[in-house]
Amino acid sequence: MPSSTAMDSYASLIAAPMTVAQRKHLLKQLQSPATISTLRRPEILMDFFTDSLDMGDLGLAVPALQGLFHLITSRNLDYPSFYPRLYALLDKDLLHSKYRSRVLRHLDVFLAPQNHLPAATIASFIKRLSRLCLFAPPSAIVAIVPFIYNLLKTYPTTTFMIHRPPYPPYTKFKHNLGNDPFNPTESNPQLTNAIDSSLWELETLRSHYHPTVASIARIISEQFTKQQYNLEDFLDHGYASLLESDLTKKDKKPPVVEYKIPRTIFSEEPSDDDAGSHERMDRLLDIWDFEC
Amino acid sequence: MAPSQLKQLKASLREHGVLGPQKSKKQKKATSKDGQKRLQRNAALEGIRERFNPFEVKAPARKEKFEFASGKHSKPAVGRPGVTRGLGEERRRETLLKEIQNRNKVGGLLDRRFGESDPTMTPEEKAAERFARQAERKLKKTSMFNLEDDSEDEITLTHGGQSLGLGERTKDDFNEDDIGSLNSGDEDFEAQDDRPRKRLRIEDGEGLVEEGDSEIPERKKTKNEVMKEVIAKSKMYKAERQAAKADDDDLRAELDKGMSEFYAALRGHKPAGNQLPSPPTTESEPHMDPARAAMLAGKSREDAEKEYEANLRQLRLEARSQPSVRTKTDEEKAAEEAARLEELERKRIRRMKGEAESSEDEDEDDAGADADADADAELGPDEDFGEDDAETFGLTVPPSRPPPPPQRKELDVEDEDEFVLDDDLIASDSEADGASEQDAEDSSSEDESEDDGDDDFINGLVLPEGTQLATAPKTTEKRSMNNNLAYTFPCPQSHDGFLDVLKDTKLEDLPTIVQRIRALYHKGLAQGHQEKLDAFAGVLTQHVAYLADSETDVPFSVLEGLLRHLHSMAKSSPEAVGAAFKSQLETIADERPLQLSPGDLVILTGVSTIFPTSDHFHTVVTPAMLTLGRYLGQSSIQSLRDLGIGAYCSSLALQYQRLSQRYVPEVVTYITNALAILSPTSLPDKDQDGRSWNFPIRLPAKPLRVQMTAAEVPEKLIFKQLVVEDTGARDSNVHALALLGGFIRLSVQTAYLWRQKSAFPELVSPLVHAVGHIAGQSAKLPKSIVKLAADTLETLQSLQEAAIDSRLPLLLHNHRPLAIKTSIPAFIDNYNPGRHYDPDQQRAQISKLKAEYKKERKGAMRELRKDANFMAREQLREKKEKDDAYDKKFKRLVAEIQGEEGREKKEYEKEKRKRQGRF
Repeated sequence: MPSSTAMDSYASLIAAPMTVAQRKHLLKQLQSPATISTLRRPEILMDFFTDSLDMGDLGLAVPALQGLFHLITSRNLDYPSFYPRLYALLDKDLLHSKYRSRVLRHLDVFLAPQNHLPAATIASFIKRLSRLCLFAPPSAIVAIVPFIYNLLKTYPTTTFMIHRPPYPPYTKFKHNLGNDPFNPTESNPQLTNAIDSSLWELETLRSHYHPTVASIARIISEQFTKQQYNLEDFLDHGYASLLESDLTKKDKKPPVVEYKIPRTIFSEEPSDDDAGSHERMDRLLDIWDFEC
Repeated sequence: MAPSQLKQLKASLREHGVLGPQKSKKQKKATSKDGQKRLQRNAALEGIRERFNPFEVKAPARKEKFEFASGKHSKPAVGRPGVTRGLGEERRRETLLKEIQNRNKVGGLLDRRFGESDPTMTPEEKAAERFARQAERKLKKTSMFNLEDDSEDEITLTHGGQSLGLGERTKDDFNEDDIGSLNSGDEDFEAQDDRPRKRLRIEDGEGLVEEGDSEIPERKKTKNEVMKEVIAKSKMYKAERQAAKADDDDLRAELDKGMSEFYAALRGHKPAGNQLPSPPTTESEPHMDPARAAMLAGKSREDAEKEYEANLRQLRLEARSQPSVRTKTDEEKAAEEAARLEELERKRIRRMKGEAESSEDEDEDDAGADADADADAELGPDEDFGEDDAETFGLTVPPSRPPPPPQRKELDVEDEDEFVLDDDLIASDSEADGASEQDAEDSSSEDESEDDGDDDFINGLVLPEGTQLATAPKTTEKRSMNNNLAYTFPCPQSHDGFLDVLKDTKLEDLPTIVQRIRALYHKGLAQGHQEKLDAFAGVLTQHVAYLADSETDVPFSVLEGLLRHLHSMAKSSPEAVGAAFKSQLETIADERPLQLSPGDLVILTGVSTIFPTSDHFHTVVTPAMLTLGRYLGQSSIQSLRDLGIGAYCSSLALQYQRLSQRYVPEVVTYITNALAILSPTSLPDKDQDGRSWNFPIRLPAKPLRVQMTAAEVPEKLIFKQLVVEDTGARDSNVHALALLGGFIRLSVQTAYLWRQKSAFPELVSPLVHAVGHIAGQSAKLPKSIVKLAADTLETLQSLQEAAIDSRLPLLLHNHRPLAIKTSIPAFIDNYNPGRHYDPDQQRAQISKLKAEYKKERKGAMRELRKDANFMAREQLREKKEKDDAYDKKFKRLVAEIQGEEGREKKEYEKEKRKRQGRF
């Protein structure tokens, strides 16, 4: 049992004004369930966590969320806007930041089936993640797609997002089916209509330029025979590791070489007999001029 | 007369103590507890049974089933338990009984002499048999008659070098002596023999004495003589064979000498020499070939001769000419070309889809991968076996499922056919034949028609050195270069070496120099040239990057020439060029992944032309594409030059994906970022619908926004100005405007490239937002740009709307439902319900062993029981014998004593009576 002075010191600490760095440090100390459980009245941390969450910094939000989640699950804290807060965390910076892996690990816990979440909420998370994926680096796509697979597998209702016959019992309207019913501006994951949408973003990623990423994206369209993908295996990749594995890959056969040697590379083809096809093929010369 | 069977049985039972006087309960209990007694009793009963049923016959308990249907009309099997039991008894008597008797006894002799233990043989018979055996053993020695083996194995007793006994030797000597002494006297005899004189004299004497006997005319030959004869004969045969062989060789040599003429005659190759002199002989000869006579008839000699010559020549030509390839018509050629291109395109598409090529090993690969996938599918979450999920997709360093490596073999053959025909040329030089010349012409003309762009490569490079000198000036002329360039260069194996070579040359001569080096070190000219050229390919790749980096004013025609040289080198050795490009990419990745230099851009451009960029996985293209993506995704934009490089990279990325239309997210984000950076006012965070960005917008530390300017903005982006030179403040605004225009055009290209994607409306929306923002800045931008932006916006929006209209909800899972796993029931031929068909090999083996063990155990127990019975019987018998003997002895002694006593008593009585009578 920690002394009341420790308790008081924490209470005074979190009440005092602090800089962002101090707050981060304090959060790092307080986020773990072990620390929280040593406190006599952990409820006092609630405001501290919610304040940190509202500051809009990923570095603060992630540990704050973790602490809040622990309070909710163990201390019966009533925080109805937890999932909207979590949903708001998935913004444009997430997949490009260094907190990506950590947030994904937390998401894995927060969206676990034992939390009994409604399918609409899960669908919103899936849709938001796949929308972010459309502009994400390969390393993020590689992690998100198996995560979404796991979600789809755990909540079978959401699989309508990848397989929806184009007529009314399944769609809301008869026409204009290409319009995405998903409302990206809605902040409540329960109300985004994502459950009526389709994951075209992931379908597009099946033709990602990198073969590994493309083949991972393809698991969405194959039979869901695997129960779960181990998320840890897909985190912590990057351009460098992908590039290294590509460069060190042993190729059994010599590389294929383009059959036709182009007559020119940096200048317009002198003969302009069929300029149409040429123009179609060469996007470089449309924009660039290599002459001095 | 023997008593009846029943009485006999009763008697024997009583005798063995089986039947006897009534026993009390106590006694019965005692006997039943005493195992030894019970055993004895059983043994006794067994013995009695055996004795009373010597001809016991036992029918099988059950008749054979379906005796008639199965067609086996055999006698019913009859067991003779008595006989088998008797046999067993016999065997036991021989083994077990002996052992029992020999128990606790040590030593003894084992007599192995023949017939020793057989009492039926007389001593004479035994001796005869033993002698016969010995003789037989001697005969078995095969080496005695082996001529090759000189060693005399026969053991003879000798004394003083002379054999003893009834030696054939003495007899031999005697006979030989006899003949010798008769014919040639003592001299040669002495030469033959070196036995002691004395002995000889004695023998001579004997010989004289026995002379009469030895004059039998046909003496049986001794073994020695026979052997000698045999040897002599075999030697003679051998000599004969050798002589015959020598004769044959002579004959063959003679024939060989005439062979060349014979061949000539066969081919009709020797007309003038031999046929011309022949006419005079034909004149003189009365017999003439009728055909020839007909030909000669009515013609002068000269004419006939000429005609003959002509015919002969014609014949020769005919024999040598072969069916030639028919000259194809233009339509056929066009069709062939079309088919070839179609095939190439088909292969390209297969590679693009990442499908396995038709070759077998790749099928296997694929199957293996499938199996992997299956295994993966089977693994539940619980039974993960520690396998990395990501590894299945080749995400970690040792990729377990490599995408099918690109196939090349056939393609290589094809381009070798039409691109490098130097091998043909060089080979045909030695023949110097008209026909092959024509071939060469044919193929070269074909070549011209096929790849019109490659002429200048072939010119200098396919011909051997001599011809190259003649053609080289032509090429230099064509390229308007100076003629005093050296013709021979060393083949540089390192970049420094190459720089040495190029020290005093002009930049414009570089392609010519490379061409000459390639011609000089063509692989057809000497061994090892290929390796040198492979190294040179690496050097050349380095040099391209070096040139573009270091020399700011290098003309692009030179770089282009070098890249095309690399391309044509890649056709002959793709590994080397591929490795060279890969090492360049590695350097980029290690040293400057986010600061690409112009040289790197040229290299990446080269990759886009030399290698097929549409492949699913390509060992060079994939890393190159990843390098581009990395730069676009992660580089931070701080200057206009960065933006220029980024624009070029985006452009290259689109160029890479022009055929396969794969999606590159980094391009969209980069273009949007660039537009946001260049836009004269900052881009709002949310678009008109209130949607926020899906990716971060990073603005540079120093704003690069364009300002209104009246200067002329070039239509295209100029590589030199934007990428190579570090733009000063001088005309930065013009450059910025040019870049803005370039990026707007790039966004159109992007939209056109990916307009088929299902998520096109979403992916184009940031571009629409950014371009729309720029189009709205008419006050701060030149009209041309605003107009361009407005047009672009219109295009993008119309494309977006069209995509939304044509799009349908996803239908990705039209798979057939997974069937429950079934297995075909195994059908076993000749199924036997008695047999065990255990599918588990190990278990089957174990149960088989168990059964065997059980059977053996039962058998062994039965045997042991029988042995125990036998031993009990034997012991009983022995005991009885001993008892009998003791009884007999006792009786005898008693009788003796009684007799003695009686005698003594009589004596006593007599004495008594005597005494009584006296008294």
